[in-house]
Amino acid sequence: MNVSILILLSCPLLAFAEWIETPAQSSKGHLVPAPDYAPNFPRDHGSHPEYGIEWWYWVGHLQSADEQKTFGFQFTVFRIAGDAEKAENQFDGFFGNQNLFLVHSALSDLESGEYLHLERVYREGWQARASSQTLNLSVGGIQAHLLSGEEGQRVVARYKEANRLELSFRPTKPLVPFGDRGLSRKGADPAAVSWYWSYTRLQAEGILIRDGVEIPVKGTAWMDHEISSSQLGGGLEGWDWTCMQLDDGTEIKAYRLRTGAGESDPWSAVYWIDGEGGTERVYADGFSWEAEDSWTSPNTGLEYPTSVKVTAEHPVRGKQIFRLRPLLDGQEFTGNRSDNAYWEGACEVLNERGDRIGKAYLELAGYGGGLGARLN
Amino acid sequence: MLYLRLAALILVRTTVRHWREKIGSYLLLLAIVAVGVGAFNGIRQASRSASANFGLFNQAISGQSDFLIESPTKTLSADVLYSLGPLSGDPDWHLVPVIEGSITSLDGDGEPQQQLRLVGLDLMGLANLPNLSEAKFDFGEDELTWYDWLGSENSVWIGRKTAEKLGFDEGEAIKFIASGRMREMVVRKIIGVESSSFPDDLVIADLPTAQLLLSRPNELSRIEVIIDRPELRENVDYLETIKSRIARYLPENLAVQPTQNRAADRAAITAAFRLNLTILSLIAILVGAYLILQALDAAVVRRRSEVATLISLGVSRGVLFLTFLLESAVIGSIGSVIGIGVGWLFAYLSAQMLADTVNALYFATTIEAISLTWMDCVFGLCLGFSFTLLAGWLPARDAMQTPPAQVLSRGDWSPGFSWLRNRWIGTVLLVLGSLLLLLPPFPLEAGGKMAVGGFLAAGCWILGAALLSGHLLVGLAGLLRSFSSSPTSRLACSRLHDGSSRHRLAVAGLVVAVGMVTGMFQMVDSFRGTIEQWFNVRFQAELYISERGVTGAGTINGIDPSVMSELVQDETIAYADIVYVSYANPPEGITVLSGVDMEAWSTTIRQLWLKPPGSLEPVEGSEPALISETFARRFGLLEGGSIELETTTGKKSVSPIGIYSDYGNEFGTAAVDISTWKEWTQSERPINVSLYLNEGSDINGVRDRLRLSYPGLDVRNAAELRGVALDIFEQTFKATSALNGIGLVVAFAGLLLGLLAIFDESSRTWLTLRHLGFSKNQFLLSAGLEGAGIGLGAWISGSLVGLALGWLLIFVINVQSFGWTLRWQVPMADFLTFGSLLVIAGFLSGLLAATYWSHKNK
Amino acid sequence: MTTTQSENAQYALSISSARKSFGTVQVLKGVDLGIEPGERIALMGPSGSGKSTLLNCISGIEKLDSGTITLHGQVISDLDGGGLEKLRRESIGYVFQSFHLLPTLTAFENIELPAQLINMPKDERREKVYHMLKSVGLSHRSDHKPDALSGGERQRVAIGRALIHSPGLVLADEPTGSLDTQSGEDVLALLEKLSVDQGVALLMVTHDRSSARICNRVISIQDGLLI
Repeated sequence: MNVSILILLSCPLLAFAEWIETPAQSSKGHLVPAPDYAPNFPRDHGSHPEYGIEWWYWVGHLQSADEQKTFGFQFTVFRIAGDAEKAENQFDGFFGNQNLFLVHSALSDLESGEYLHLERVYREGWQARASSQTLNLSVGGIQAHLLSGEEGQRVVARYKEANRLELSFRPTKPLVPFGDRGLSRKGADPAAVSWYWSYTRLQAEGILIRDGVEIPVKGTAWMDHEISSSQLGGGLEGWDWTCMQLDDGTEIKAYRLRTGAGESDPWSAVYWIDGEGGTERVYADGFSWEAEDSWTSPNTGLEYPTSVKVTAEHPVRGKQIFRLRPLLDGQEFTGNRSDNAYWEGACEVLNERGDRIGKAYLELAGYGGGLGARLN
Repeated sequence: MLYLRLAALILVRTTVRHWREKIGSYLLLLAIVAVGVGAFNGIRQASRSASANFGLFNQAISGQSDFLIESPTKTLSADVLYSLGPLSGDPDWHLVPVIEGSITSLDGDGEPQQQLRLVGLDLMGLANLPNLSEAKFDFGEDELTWYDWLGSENSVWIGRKTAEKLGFDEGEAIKFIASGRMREMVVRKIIGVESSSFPDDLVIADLPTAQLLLSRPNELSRIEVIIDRPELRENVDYLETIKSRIARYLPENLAVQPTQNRAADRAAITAAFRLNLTILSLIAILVGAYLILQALDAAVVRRRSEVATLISLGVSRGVLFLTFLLESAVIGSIGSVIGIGVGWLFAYLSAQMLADTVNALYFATTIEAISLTWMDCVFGLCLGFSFTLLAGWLPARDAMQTPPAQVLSRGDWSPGFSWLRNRWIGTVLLVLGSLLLLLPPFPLEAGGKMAVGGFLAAGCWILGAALLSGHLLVGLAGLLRSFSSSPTSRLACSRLHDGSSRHRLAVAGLVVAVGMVTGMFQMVDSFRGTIEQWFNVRFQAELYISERGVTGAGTINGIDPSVMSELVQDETIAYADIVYVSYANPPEGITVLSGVDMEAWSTTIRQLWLKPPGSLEPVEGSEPALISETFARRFGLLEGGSIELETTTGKKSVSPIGIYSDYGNEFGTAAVDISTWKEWTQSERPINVSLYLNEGSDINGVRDRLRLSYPGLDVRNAAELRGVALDIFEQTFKATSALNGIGLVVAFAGLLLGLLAIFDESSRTWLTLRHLGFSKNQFLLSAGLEGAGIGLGAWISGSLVGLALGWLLIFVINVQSFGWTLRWQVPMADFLTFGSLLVIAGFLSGLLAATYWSHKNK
Repeated sequence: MTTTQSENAQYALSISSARKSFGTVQVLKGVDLGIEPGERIALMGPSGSGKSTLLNCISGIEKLDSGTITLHGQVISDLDGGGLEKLRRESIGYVFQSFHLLPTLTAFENIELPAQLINMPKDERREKVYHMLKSVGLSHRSDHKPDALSGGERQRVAIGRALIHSPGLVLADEPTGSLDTQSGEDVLALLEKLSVDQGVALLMVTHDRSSARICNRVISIQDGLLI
């Protein structure tokens, strides 16, 4: 079933360049990311406990050394802060209650069609620690730290049945901070901002241990590190998000924030990242997001618009059309709770003519229930 | 087939009709079978129910755990979590650290109200568990303020049953004591669970909260492991793979084992105790079987001429044998079915008593509902059926051998039961029993032992004595006869002296019960006496302090070290003998490792020494230790040597320098110096302290003052401690006493039945005497004296074998099963009292039987 | 067939040189006796003369020390236990002095019992029992148990029981010993009638001369020998 949704706003573009002053704290007392913040690394690769919500996110496409197999992967470590008053205290005990960590790991075996995924939740402590001084995560089955002696990260992610993915990531472009004055805005609510730093193109290399067999793999990856205290503005139900890595060496990030009424929030955006890491951006009035096909999950019964067409006005190059097609339908992530499902999977990017021009990861969240309450 | 048909015909036409006429006797028979089966089955079921919850209390919440990670001392430092490395995040399983301890709620007056079990779990981590995702219960609408209840200082969750029982409400603050401290907990929510497996004394808290409430910072009891794929729980290969993966990364001092092992371990710990109890419950069956023999034999007597007539009509002896056997079978079957119900009732009534005993001696347990499995039914049926059939075999054989000519012409015939008159069988049994003593004990799991030779010897001696008791009765009657002048006593003595098989049977049955009872008397009395003597020597301090409110040997939190260190600063204390205790693993089973002031124990503190300190040379390289007698016997260290024990910090070797008597546990204790103990166990928590006060101190005054200052501690003077210990002692023998009581009741029922049969058989004699002018009162008196004579004969024979059994229990069975030496005490006063009661009861039985008989035959 | 055998063939019962001792006491010292089919013999003798012992040996309840007993041509003294039981079921009827009826069975059932023991078909059996009850004059008492019957009635039931299975020989041990004169007369008359009607040989032990009148022959036994 094709559902087309076209949003054209009559308001001038300028309206959405308007600056909304951010408060110092969110309604829960957590710090709100300040504008014009210059991240300081390696410290800012680490955890920011005074802020309410944080995640480290890696997705990518891999190919086995013999080029017979291809995979998609996703790992995310979420941190959710507790009592804002205790946020400053560094916890180094066993069973903390200041932060919760959620781990999502997924692996799409594109040849066999298998999709492994798992979710775990941990309180800060012996099973989940995140350094606030550098990237040093040890959260359940995911360990991540910086490479020593060079820029980059090493991540080990464990899946069920003793499967494991160990990857080293080396950036081919500098880190990109998204948003005006360093703040990525997700809604009209003044506090709905985040620091959003991404490595948009990483070289990935490592080993996949799959069913006891070691498979050397390489490919490309994308990494996000986002820090905020309130993710979605009020009234927002979820988002459709994609990161595309085109074969020409550029990247695109696009996301549509969906309102309860099924429309796109004005703060939805598309970002173009050039070969050197420079960015261009439009908000919702500058692009459309159409579902061209969908997939209904046999597990949850939810319908996901997994084939999409993004039509965006590049400020310089003009209209650009990108079609995303999933490389595997069944990439629905179901966690421990029944109301926590979303679709996130490896896709290919096609141009208007249907030629393959790159690869992407597509995330469709909030189709099973309101995420708004969770992420505020 | 024809045989069976004929037997069935005779059964229906004659036997069943006789039952209708003597319904009372047959109902009594059914009752005897029912009691026998019931006692045995009941003990098994009660035992199982008390054992069933040896398992893990948090299973009620997290579902079934598959593996356990524990240290040999059964406590872990939380630091161990960081040493788990790749184990901690593996998606194929969930690690659930647990801390568990006893707390006692206090009522409004500050008095102990109810002992509860506090279990601390990572409540957030529960969300990952496969069985909990569609939660049996939720921690409330609290989700979004998880950081309010997670890691709170005192929030707890309580089951609905507990809340109702103790009147707790949500939001209520409850005072309690644990580890010697008084604290407060707040009921965050009452959890309403449908599952009935949720124990009604369980309190749940977040793990760090529980550590705080128990005053056990940084401690864990164990780490449970739940596999992520519950559908593979029964797959042995898969579980083995998981276990190997875990074991590969586990630090050296930790062990992973399947949870069934733990339940099995805990069951094994009490195996000796439960086995002994089961054997005791055989009393009821043994005596019951004998009674059935008697009753069926009496039936054969009554139907003697009928049997003779049938033989003369051409009914084959085989058919007659089968008929009487069928009668036994029917009684056995019906009685067993009733017995299964009786067993359930008995189990229901005794389960709590059993659990209390286990609680007192071993570790905390609660009882699960008594379950009646199909196995219990099968067992009960087979048992009752078999022993009734066995008991009925002799009378059936007797019926088969009836000589019709004699019976038909003379009208009566007394069975030869030649084997009863044969001295040899009894003598051979006595000798065989003595030889069986040479058998070595059979090792049980967890290090217990079963004194196989001892039990078999006991059986042989009891049977042998029962068989020979008839001869003693005849001799006794002969002796008494020469002193009796009145017609009634002469008649009674002459009948006893005649030594009919029926008399021999009557006395034999009573001897079995009397022997076992007097044997147990001695053991219990000797035990009590030994413990009292032990107390007199060992417990010389003025005050004794332990954790308050906690009963039971294994629910120990120990005392908060800071409380202890504050306490011993008290200026009235001259010396504080602080003791530390933990488990340790010898090569097989478990044992107890204790930390004491070695110098004081070796020099000034009194003990009952088997081998005083210094009499044994320690082995070089081993830690010198003072060991209990049980420990010494169990590990063959009576003459010295060494043994390796697994502790938190690895394998450690101990070697005795002295051996002392200790009746605290049956697994043995090795006491090393406190500093060594602390190093080995990585723990600082003492279990108790004995205080020696300055000279001239007001003991009770100090006691009262300490009680006020430390409401979380039990402070007792020596007399009070002794009282508590003896209470526990009495507790442990409650079940034994109950079984003894049952055995005696059954035995007296048997005496009554036996006398009835005797009088029935002598109808001709009584009628003749009546014709001769013997009055009814004289008849009754004579019958009473006959009964008293049997009682006296049973007492003498029973006492003789009872003395032998007492010796056996004390010097063989106790030593082999539990490894301790008791001081043999023969409670002469009790013996004599018991004898008088037996004679009186015998007299009354005789009177009763005669009254009934004469009423029936007037 | 030998001479002895041919001699035995003509007798319902033939006893030859029967000897039996109990301990040191010799009770039968070589008894010889022949009873023809349908013949009625009264065996008389003082107490202790061996009468009952002889009866017991014939029925197989006791075993001879030496000698032979032949019943309808079959040497029964050589039979084993099973054979003797079969003998008692099929070939012999017994009437006791003390009746020895089964106390839990009715008159009907007491008479019926031997017929059941030889597996007589039910209909035939019941018919015979009714007929027998009528013959002994107790049709109106068929449902009564022994304790509801008088001595004479009990003995009549016992006679009925002894004959229901048409044995070749009836042994009666003092059949009137426990009865009053009139009852005794009635019982004797019945015994005579039925044994004549059925052609059954009768060996009756008695110490009462007048009882012997229903018999063809009177034999005396003294000190273990027939005189």
